Amino acid sequence: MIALWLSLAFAADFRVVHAGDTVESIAAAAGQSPEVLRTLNGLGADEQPRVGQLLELTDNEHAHQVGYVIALSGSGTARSPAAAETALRLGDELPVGTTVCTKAGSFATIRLAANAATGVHDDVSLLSETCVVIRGLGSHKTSRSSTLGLESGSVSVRSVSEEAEGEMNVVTRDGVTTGALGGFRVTLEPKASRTEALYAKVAVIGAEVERELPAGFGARVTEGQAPTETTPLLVPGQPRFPEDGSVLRRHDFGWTEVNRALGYRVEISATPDFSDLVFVEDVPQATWLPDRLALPRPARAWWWRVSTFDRLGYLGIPSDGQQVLEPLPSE
Amino acid sequence: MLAMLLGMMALAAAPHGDLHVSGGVGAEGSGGALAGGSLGVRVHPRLRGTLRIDGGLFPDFGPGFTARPELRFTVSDPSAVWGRFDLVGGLGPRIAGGVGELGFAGIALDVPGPRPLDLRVEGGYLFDRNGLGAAVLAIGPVFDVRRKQPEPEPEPIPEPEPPAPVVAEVPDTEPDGIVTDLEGVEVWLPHPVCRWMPLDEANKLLQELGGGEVQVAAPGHRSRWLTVDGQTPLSLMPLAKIGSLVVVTAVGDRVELDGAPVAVNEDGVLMLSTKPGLVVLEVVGNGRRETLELPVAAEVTTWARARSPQTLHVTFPADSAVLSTRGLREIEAIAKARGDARFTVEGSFSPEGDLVRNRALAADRARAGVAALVAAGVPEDQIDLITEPKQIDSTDWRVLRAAVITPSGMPR
Repeated sequence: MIALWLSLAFAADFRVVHAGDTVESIAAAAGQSPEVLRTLNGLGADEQPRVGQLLELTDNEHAHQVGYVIALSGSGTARSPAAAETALRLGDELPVGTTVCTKAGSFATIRLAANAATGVHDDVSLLSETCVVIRGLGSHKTSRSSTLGLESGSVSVRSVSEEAEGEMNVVTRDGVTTGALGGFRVTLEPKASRTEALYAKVAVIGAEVERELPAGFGARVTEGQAPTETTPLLVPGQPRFPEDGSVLRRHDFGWTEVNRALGYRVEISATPDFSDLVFVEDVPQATWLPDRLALPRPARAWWWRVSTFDRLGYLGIPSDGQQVLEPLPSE
Repeated sequence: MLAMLLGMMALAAAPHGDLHVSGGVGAEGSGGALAGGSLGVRVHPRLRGTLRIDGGLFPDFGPGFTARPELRFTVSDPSAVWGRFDLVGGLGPRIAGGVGELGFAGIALDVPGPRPLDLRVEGGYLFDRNGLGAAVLAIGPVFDVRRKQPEPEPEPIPEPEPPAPVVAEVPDTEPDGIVTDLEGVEVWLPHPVCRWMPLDEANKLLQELGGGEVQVAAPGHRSRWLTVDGQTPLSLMPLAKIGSLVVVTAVGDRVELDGAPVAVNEDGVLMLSTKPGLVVLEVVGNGRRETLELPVAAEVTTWARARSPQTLHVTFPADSAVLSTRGLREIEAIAKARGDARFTVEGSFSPEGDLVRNRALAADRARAGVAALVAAGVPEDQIDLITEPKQIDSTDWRVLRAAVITPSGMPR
C-alpha cells in the first residue's frame, strides 16, 4: 500500500514543448487550465516555456499508469523510488521514477503508457548495458504519453498505429527526441545523443532548436547545441541465408552488401516483432559466421534481421525479419 | 666480417660443426700434425659457413695456429642417403712461422654415422701468398642436425573401422505434461493486447475476442503457442533439463563423444541433446584433429564449428622428390587424421630451371606423397593423384617444392 501510494506520488505526465507551443495551446490540447499548468511547472503569469522543456500535465483527470517488463533475455535490475534495487523479472511492474538497467548481453522490453480506449501502447526495447528512468506515463481520453530518460546505452521504440494520439519522448543529457508514432531509436554516445527515425517522423530538440527527422533519417544532438543536419540512413542488406522458414542447421548468416556501409547489426529475436531480442552482434562484413552461438530455445522459432551502419555511425532501418526454426536431434 | 655474418645467420639457421685431426706434408718436405674444430651454420641445403680453428705443427711454417672462415658447397644431392660431397675453401690469419695469412682449398666427404654424427674425410692444400704450401688430410666426426638419415619403413596403420551409426544421445525425453495446477499460468495475448496476464483474465478476453492463438507459460514448463478455445485442457512440456548442441564439422570428419562415435549427418552437421555441463567432442578427419569443449546449458541451443580443413603442403628439398623424415612424419599424421575423407595429391615446383624437368619433378613429388599416404594406411582408392601439375603463383618455397594434399572436406 505504501509502495502504491509512493508510486502515485511520483507519477507524472509530461508534454514536450515544440516550437510555436504556448502554455495556452498545450493546456487546451490537454483539457486543462493554463493556470494549473503554470502552477505545476513554476511558470509566471506571462512566462512561456522553452522549446524542448518537459511540461508536467499531472492532475486527477490523467490516469496514472505503471510500466511492465514484457520481455527479458538475460538479466537486469529495477530500482523504484519506493524500493531497493531488485533483479528484473518478466511481468515486473515499473512505477514512474523506476530505473531499469540491462546487464551485458541482456535485453529487455518494457511497456510504458497504454491507452485503454485506443489500445495504443508504447513499447521500448533496451539493448545490452542500457539504463533508463521512467519519467512519465499518462493516458487521457484517446491520447497517451510516455517519457523516458536514457542514462546509458540504446533504446528502440516500437511503432504504434498511425491514428495514435499523444507522444513518446526520450530525454538524454543532450536533448529530447519526441515522436507521436514511435518507430525510432536513440543511442547515448560519449559526446552526443544519436537519433534514427525508422518508421515515422520524429523531432529532435537541443538548445531550444527543434529539427524534424522524416522516417529514414538520423541526427545527433550535443549538450548545449542545436541538432545536426539530418542524414539519410542506409538501406538494410537483403537477407540471403539462412532462408526464411529454414531450420537453423548452420550458424552462418549472410546478406547482400550495401554500398558505403561501415558495418552491419544482426539481431535475433524470439518474437517476429523483435520485442524479445536474444542476441545482437555488430559485424564489419556482409556475412556473420560466429564460432559459437547460444540461443534460448524458442517457444515457436527465432527471427533474424540485419541493419546497416553508415560511415557516420548511424544505424539504418532493419530488414524484414527472417524466421528460422530450431534444429532438433531427430531431424 | 664473414664471422659476423655467420653469427647473425646462426640465429635463424641450423648448427653444423666438426672436430678433426690432420696430417700434412709441406712443399719443402717438412711434415706436420694439426688438431682443431669448426663451428658454423647451414644457410641452405647446399651451403654451409664455418669458422675453423687449427693448432699444432704446420708443415713448412712450424708450430702455431690459424683461425679462418670457410665456405662448404655441397655438389652432391644434399638429401642422398650415402652422404655428401663438398667443395671447401677459406682464408684467415695464421700465427705460425711469423704472422701472416693462410688459405685452404679442398674437398670433403661426409659419410653417415649414428645420427646426428657423420664421419668426415677431407683433403686439400694449405697455402700462403708466397707460394709456400702443404697437402693435408684430415679426419674426424662432424655433426649436422638436419642431415637426412635413412628411416625404418613406417609400419602400416590399420584402417579404423567406420563408426556404427549412433542415434544422438538423448538422456532426457520431453514428455508432454498436462498442467493441472493453473496457479501461476501466464498467457501472452498478441496484438492488439500485447500483454502477459493470468489465465482466467486471458480466458475472459479470449471469449470476447472469440478465441485465438496465444503463448502460454507456467513456472517449470516450456512456454508454447497454442490455439485456445476454452475447451481443450492446456498442455505444456515441463522445462527440459537438457540443452541442445549443433556442431558444424566438415564432410568426412568423424566425431567422438567420450570415446564413442557419434553419428554425423551427411552435410557434416551433428545435433544432439544432452545434460547441462561440459561436453568434450573429438573431431578427426580431413587431415586434422581437434578437441572441442562445449558448455551445454538447459533450455539453450548452442552452435559451434570445428576448424575448417586446410590444404596441406609437405615440402621437399630443392631438385628432389625424396621425402625427408619430417615430411614422412607429416604425412603419417595426415593419414592418421583422415577420418572418412578422400585426398587429392598434386606436386609443385619452383620456377627456376627447365620447365619440362620441373613438371616431371612435381609429378614425382605427388607420387612420393601418394606412396607415403598408402604406406601410412590410406587406401589407394581414397587418393586422387594429379600428375599434371599447375604452375603455382607463389614465392614461398614451402608451397613451391611440395606435395600438395587437399582433403575432400575442404570448403570450396
